[in-house]
Amino acid sequence: MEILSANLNSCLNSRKEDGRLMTPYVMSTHSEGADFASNDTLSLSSSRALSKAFLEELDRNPGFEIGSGSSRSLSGTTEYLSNLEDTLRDFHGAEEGIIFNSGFDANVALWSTIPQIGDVVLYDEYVHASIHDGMRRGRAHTQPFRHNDCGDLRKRLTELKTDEGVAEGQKVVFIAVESFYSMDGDVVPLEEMVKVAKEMLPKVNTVLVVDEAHSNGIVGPNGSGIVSHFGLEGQIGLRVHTCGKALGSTGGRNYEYSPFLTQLTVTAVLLCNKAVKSYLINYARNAIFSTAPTFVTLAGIRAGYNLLASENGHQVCCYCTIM
Amino acid sequence: MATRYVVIVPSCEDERLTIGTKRRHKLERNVQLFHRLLQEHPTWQEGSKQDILSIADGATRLSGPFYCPIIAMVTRPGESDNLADAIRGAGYSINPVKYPLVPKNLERVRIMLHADNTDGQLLDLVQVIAGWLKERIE
Repeated sequence: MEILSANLNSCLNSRKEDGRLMTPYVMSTHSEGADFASNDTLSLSSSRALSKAFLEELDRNPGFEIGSGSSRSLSGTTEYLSNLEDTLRDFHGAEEGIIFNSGFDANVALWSTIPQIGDVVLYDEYVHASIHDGMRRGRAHTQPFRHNDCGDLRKRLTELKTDEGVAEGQKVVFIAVESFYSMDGDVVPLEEMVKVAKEMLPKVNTVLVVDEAHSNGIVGPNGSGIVSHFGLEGQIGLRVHTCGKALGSTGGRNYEYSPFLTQLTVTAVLLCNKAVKSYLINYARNAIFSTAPTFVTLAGIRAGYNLLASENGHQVCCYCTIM
Repeated sequence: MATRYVVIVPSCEDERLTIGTKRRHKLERNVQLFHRLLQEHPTWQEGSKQDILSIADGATRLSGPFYCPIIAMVTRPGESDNLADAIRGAGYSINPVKYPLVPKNLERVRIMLHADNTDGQLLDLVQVIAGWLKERIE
């Protein structure tokens, strides 16, 4: 361990000398001041609105069992999980939805599994690290385009058309973007990108994929996202909606339930079609080899969506009361 | 606050709206108010001219239709920690962001606005930023 520690400290010291060492900031020491740091943008967590909705959801399910017992691919798909995925699918206007333990997990599953050999992924140069990690494990050729630059996207698509498989529509070209970019706060020119993709590849072998991590809850009808805002549900093949940001990350406040809720609300739903959902359950390593989300995790998600979708924050469907 | 600010989002008080939508309107209002307070501040106007501090993609921020609560306040190299410390010193939580999270020459302070931030807090934040800026204006 001493040699290992010395090696690690050598790297950390080098980062420190560059002024880049990250030393997590202890939030509770500033809990009296205003929050200009957390992703809890709707203040659902810090206001305790989510805590209340979560406890109400527990009350509606007095017989709940905490554990899911197994992975998604085996017996971990509980009725509650299946019903929740149906609710999220309907809320966001998609054909199917599949819940992952985090947005990071959803992106790794998607990008490491769905693009096939011969396919191409064009990605905005500023997309999230989890998309990079997934692509690195995947089998498709990957290539960046300049941030939010439809001209550069058009150029890359033009170049790809020299590949007969792409031009003739046998190979799929994925385009990976985010709705709001988390470090710049700017917005994807989504409608224009849809137009460019259609113009350049009229055989419709492009799949636009939008990570809605920072738009879920704060854009579109009832906060259903940027794709729903533009009514592009039918044009955008895949969407990743995380539940840990506007839907209730804790905001670092030292409230009674907040540390607990942090764990509940870091999950994500990947909106897709039946083929993609079935493929992920069969091939995504973190769906196969990781335990499915627990009941409390899922109840946290439902509580967040109840706040988005109903006038008084109560349940959005009837079956969540049955236990 | 003595000044009233006009913002263009619907009322948060409509009973038919969901809790999420009411909070969303409040958040959109706060984002617009923050940008307005900042851009109308004379020190900000002067500091922007001297490239001491800028907002990434700032030109599009007040045009909508989206009012993103993430505000990337890009400092000169080596100054993001200092600005974050000034804001923390006023009692607020804030994150500086550096390479490898962002490009090396674009370190920043990442301001996240919230539905429950008050007008007074937003005004105070702008004043803290302006105070920091003033010390650097030549």
